[in-house]
Amino acid sequence: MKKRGIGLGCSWYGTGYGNGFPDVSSAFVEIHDDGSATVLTGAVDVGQGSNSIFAQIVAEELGLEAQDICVYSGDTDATPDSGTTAATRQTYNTGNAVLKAVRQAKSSLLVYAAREFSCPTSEGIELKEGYIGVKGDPSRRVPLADLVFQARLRGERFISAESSTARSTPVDPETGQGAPYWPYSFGCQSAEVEVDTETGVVQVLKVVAVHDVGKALNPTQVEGQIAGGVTQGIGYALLEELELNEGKIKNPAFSSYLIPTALDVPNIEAFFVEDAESTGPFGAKGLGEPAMLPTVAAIINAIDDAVGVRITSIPATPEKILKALAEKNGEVKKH
Amino acid sequence: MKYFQPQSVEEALELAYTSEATFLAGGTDLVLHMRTGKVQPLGLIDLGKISVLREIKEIEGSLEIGSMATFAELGKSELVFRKAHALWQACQTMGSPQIRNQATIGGNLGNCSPAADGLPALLALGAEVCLSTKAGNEILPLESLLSRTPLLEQGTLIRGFRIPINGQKSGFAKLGRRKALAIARLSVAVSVEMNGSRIDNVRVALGAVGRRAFLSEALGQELSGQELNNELLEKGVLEVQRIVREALGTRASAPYKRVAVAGVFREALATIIPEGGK
Repeated sequence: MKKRGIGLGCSWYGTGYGNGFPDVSSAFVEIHDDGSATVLTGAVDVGQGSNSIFAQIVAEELGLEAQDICVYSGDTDATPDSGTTAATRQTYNTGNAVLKAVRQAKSSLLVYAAREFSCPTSEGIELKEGYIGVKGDPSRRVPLADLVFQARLRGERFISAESSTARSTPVDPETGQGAPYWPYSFGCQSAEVEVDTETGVVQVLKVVAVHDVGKALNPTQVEGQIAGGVTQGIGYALLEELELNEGKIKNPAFSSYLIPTALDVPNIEAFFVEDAESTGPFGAKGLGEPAMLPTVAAIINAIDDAVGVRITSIPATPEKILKALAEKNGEVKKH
Repeated sequence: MKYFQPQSVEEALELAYTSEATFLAGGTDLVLHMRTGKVQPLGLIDLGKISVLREIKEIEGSLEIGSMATFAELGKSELVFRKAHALWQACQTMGSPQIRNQATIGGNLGNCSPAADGLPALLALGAEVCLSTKAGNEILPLESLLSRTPLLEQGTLIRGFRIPINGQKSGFAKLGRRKALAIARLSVAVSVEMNGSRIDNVRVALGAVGRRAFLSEALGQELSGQELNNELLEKGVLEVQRIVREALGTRASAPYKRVAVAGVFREALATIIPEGGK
């Protein structure tokens, strides 16, 4: 018989290295005389999209489009260290370093522009739609490329180097108290499953995921990260198991260490809550790992809801489920 | 290593006789085994250019399937869908689209994995195998071939399969760890002839519960000639569980499989009698 159930999982997660470990990212920025800009950073984009995020941050700050920004990343010969792509830290940490760097380059640009436009203060200058000029006076603006080109002829360059260190203090080893992480990420997911009571097979029918991202700098990426996280969470809950024999991995291949295929992934509804993180770039914080955290709890709870058995070790394989069902029905005595 | 690409069956048989090379079908198993060193052929005779081996056709009350027909071709064939439904179903879930495009039904038998997806369906459908060597041809029931060790002598070519068309209804179900790219942990194929509400000539075959797929003649006889109802279905479930228990003995997978086979058996039957399923 096939039985359905719904389960909920919630998570909170400290992002960054934490516990007082120096969590530093850095970036170089140059604003060019063709109206483009370059970012150099050691942050590695492993497919999650950090390069796009850095381009967006610089473009937003300079009144350009993301495609005007060239991001060079993860080249140890040329880019400044930005730590690992881990701990859900690149959008937040390296994003902050990139933002600081572009703001520094921009501030010397604004000072130069204020002089050019005979503006008493650089506060009166704005960068918008590829132009630079006096705030509130559209007649007094020039293409950014023209101004930077002119500056270049006069020996002025807009180049910066910045770094950003996340807030973290080690916990007291005696009391366990302290503020090891900043910021925290919050999420909640619910899963609907169907359990076959004869074969023990669990099919995930639907997952609804809601995550606090501070500010979604790139909503499509947020949706993608949630879908990826949920998929990994399904594998974690139902499939993935590293089998060891005297310390050797018995299943070191994707034919024996199984992860979900497209056919195993249900409809995923992704939502995000935007509660701006005051220390994040434009209010953003990370989502990488948090997206997979609540999935396991939601699925295990849904199995419980469907057939009334509590699975206490993952993955929740068909064998474990049938065994638990048999124990529940009194067919097999517990050892 | 030598590589041949004959254009005809005769040429292929001659090459196998003189060179002691191994026949290559889709290569989805053989190439992997060569990589790991599990098999080390002296040469390869690629059967891919012999178009007659790819044919799927109806001749004189039989469905004839060439050994080089791929799972994708079988899975898209209207003829297979109508006349050999269990086989058609097995072809939908085997591997992935890429593997189905490459893997052949003859190769499935040649490699003869315990979990081979095509074999339980062919067994249930009463398929005969057509073999050829330089010395001549042989046609025999698949279950007879599967009892031989080794399965095939050197130089024996699997030409294809012949499935009798007698209005039988058939179904296949498999249990894998996931929904695609999953090796069968259990598979069941069933074929019946419906006479009103009575079922005759019942054939039940199982995969992944032993060294090779097998036909359970005892279970077939037990269920044949009876009214198809819930009572019979439950009797079948108990029987198939008993067969799996006996076939697996003390293997680690036995406690699970002997229970779970009930669900797979029901699912295989659900194609034949939708209301008889869960």
